[in-house]
Amino acid sequence: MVAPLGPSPADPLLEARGIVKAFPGVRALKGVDLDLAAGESHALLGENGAGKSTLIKILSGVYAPTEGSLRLAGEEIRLASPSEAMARGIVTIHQELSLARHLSIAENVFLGVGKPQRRGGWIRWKEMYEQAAAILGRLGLSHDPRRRVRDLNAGEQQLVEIAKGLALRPRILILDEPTSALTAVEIDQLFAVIEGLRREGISLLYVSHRLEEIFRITQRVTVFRDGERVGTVPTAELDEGEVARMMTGREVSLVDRATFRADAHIGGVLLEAQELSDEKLSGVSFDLRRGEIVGLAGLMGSGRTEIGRRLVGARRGGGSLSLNGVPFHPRSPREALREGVAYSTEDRKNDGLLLQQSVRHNLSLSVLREIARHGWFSPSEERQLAEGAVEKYNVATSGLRKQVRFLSGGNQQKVMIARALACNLRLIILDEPTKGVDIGAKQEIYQLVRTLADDGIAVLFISSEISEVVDVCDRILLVHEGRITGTMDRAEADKEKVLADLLEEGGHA
Amino acid sequence: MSWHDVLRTLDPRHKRLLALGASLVVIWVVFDLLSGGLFFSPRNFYNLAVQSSTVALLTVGMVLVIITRNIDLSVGSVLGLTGMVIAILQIEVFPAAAGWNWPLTLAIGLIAGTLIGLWQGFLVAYVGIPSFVVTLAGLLIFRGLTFEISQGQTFSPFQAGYRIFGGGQQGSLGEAASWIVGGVALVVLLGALARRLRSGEASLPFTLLGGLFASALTLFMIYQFNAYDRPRTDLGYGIPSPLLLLTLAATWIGLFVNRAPVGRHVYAVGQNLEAARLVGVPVRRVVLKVFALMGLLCAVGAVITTSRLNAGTTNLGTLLELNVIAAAVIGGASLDGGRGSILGGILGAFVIQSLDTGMVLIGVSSSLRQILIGFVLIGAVWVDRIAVRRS
Ligand SMILES: Nc1ncnc2c1ncn2[C@@H]1O[C@H](COP(=O)(O)OP(=O)(O)OP(=O)(O)O)[C@@H](O)[C@H]1O
Ligand SMILES: [Mg+2]
Repeated sequence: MVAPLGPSPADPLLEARGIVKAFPGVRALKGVDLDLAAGESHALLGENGAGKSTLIKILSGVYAPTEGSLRLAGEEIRLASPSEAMARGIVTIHQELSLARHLSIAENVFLGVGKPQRRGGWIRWKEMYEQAAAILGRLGLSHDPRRRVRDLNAGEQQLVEIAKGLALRPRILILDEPTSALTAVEIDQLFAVIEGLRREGISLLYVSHRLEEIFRITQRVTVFRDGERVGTVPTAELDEGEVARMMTGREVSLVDRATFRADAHIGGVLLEAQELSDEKLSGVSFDLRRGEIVGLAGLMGSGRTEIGRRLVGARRGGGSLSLNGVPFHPRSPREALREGVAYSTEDRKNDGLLLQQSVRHNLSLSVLREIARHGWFSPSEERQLAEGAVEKYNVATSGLRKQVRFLSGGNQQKVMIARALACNLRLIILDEPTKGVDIGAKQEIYQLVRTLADDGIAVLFISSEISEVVDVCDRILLVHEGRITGTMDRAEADKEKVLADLLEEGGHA
Repeated sequence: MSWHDVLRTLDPRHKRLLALGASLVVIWVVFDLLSGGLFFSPRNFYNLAVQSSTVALLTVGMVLVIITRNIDLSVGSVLGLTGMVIAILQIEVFPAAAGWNWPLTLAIGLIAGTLIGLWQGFLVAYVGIPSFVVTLAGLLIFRGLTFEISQGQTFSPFQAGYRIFGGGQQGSLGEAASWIVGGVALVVLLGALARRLRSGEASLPFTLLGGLFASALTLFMIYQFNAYDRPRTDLGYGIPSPLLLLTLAATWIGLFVNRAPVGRHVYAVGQNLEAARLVGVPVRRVVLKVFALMGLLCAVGAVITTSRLNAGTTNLGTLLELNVIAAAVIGGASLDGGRGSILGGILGAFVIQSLDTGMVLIGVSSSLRQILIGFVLIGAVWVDRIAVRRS
């Protein structure tokens, strides 16, 4: 295929030529080019494992390229370390967050720049907290900067990570899937900040699997496929279908995202929650039916995750649950699992995957006991199971023995979802199941979720992407500040309406 | 392919096992040269094997403890206490002539060790006291108890039947049986290696090098054990029973680690406790079980040691925890949790014990020995860090 090369600016600010990156067993990049003009906002797109993050890690000094060269403002550069890239004004917010979980928000924000100091090396705490609060305020996060990062949820942590980047005063800002845990409100705020930076002349390289964002904030798009550049095109000349075709190399229909069907067979009540309350929740009552997909929509920090975790005993508090009419009070996820109730986390890095273990060990962890006979499992059976999952979920990996941390973000996510869905289930709670997953794979996950529901399994679907909730769910519960403030049937729901309701509750309207 | 390429394609874990094997050979040869052939004398070699076996047995348990991101500082004291319990019961309490005496006291000893392990595991897993604290307290408590119940005395001798566990005259297999057992072990081992090769878990270079090393080591050891003759005869001792116990225990535990869900759970707990909990791993029970096993292994170590010395003394196992932890770490167990290998730990134990024995042979003072082993420990982890950073 001939690559449709778009107009390339006469003198790009940052220029990558013929970049090759080889890892043991894979060539993640096979000689790609990229140029970034001053003041431009440039999208980098591609399927999971296409090599986007790898290129970004090269541009930010994390990896040295196997071959190829980088030029900054016409001058050839070699980036030996991330700090060298930062010193040259290249600031990167990586896909996987790198916050110090036990430090405060403010300390994290200034982790890169060094804390505001007085002569003699003493930290001026007050100044630091004020500055941090100012940056966070621009992003719409109003937390006390003294709070510990580990007490924040995934979306809030992502904002802190972004604030950390902004504190460095970038010349080039690289954002690798910054919105994967954010909801519409924070995304709007983030985009306003980005637009401001761009008007100041800062260049932006932006990666996201949410295509609508690309059309909102970028001027040019570069698409990668399997470690090669397919093309660079002005965004205005593209539509979603064309982008998807460039990414996958085949026609993809994006029309029929919705897996909702009017004739879906919805059974009796499986789980009933009454008056759940704890520090984050108050008086949460709802029920879930067999064969039904129920969505939880809400803004960041509204308590969706907390509701999910309560159902499997990963969180304690007041209120009561019943399963099939019988009182159900799991004291641990393990007890919940015994009743066929499973939870898949929103945070694959911190409480999802065993990053240093193989794809195979991660995939089998939840079902080892089921495939074991008399206390022993057969390695070949385990391997078959893992092979099956890799194939079914289309996980891009050079082998079952590859450590999960070496997979691309989206592929890690697929491993986690595959693992959750392998269990013997009656109810599955999926917390941000499509986080970082490419459009093709998202579609597959929607289908799988629908298949589960068709088999009579109840699904609680938590997502910060409202359009996805609307497309997938039979019923939507609106969550606001730890309460359920409304219910919408599929028939009456659309994206604008859900968003409007949420904003109204939040007083944003 | 050059050597360099071969090394680069090896899995880091396999690389470590081969490196440990190679270090062992180098240490042995160097000490043999330095000691004018004393190191490889059948008698020295036999004793080295017996002593290493006890350390290695405890190291197997310690590796698992460390994988769960815990530590056990009390192993020496637990060994001391269980040994003393067995000694007092067998020698003082129960009739010396009764045939049931030693099997009963043996069983009581093993149960006592397991109970101690359960107790410490309970404090760590269910009460939530850090294992460092629990087992540091254990180190003091159990050593103190040993003194209390023995009033500082030494107890001797044990019943003849009991002495089969300590190697030596009563506790060796004899020449013919040794060749048979060694042969069977080798066949099993090579079979396991071949299976890994076929399933793609082990590369060809590792299989060849590992197989070669294992075969040579097994044959050499049996040759040496058989060359060590009983007094005034030319009948060789053969394989010492402690080594046999080690092999059986390690094989059994290794099977659990690789083929039973609980083995995977041990790694999962150490690597990401929250993730393990969310997918339904019984995280507390896993830790409890690992400590119980550690206690049991301490008791087995106590049986071997008391039987070999034919006495129960108050200082049995003193400072043993240091060598055991060092062996586990040299063998690749990471104190960050989630990483470690049983085979590595066993090789680590042999490396440490060989260094110690070798230095004794060439007359290095005990203070100098401690200094050197300290440096070896740092060196081993240093090399490891470099390897980790490079990958
Ligand atoms: N450190 C590494 N070691 C080995 N392989 C790696 C490593 N990092 C990335 N890879 C491989 O390189 C390929 C590209 O990965 P990369 O993370 O760049 O993908 P991506 O385009 O960012 O995907 P995603 O959309 O899922 O984030 C993948 O196949 C991945 O498994
Ligand atoms: Mg990526």
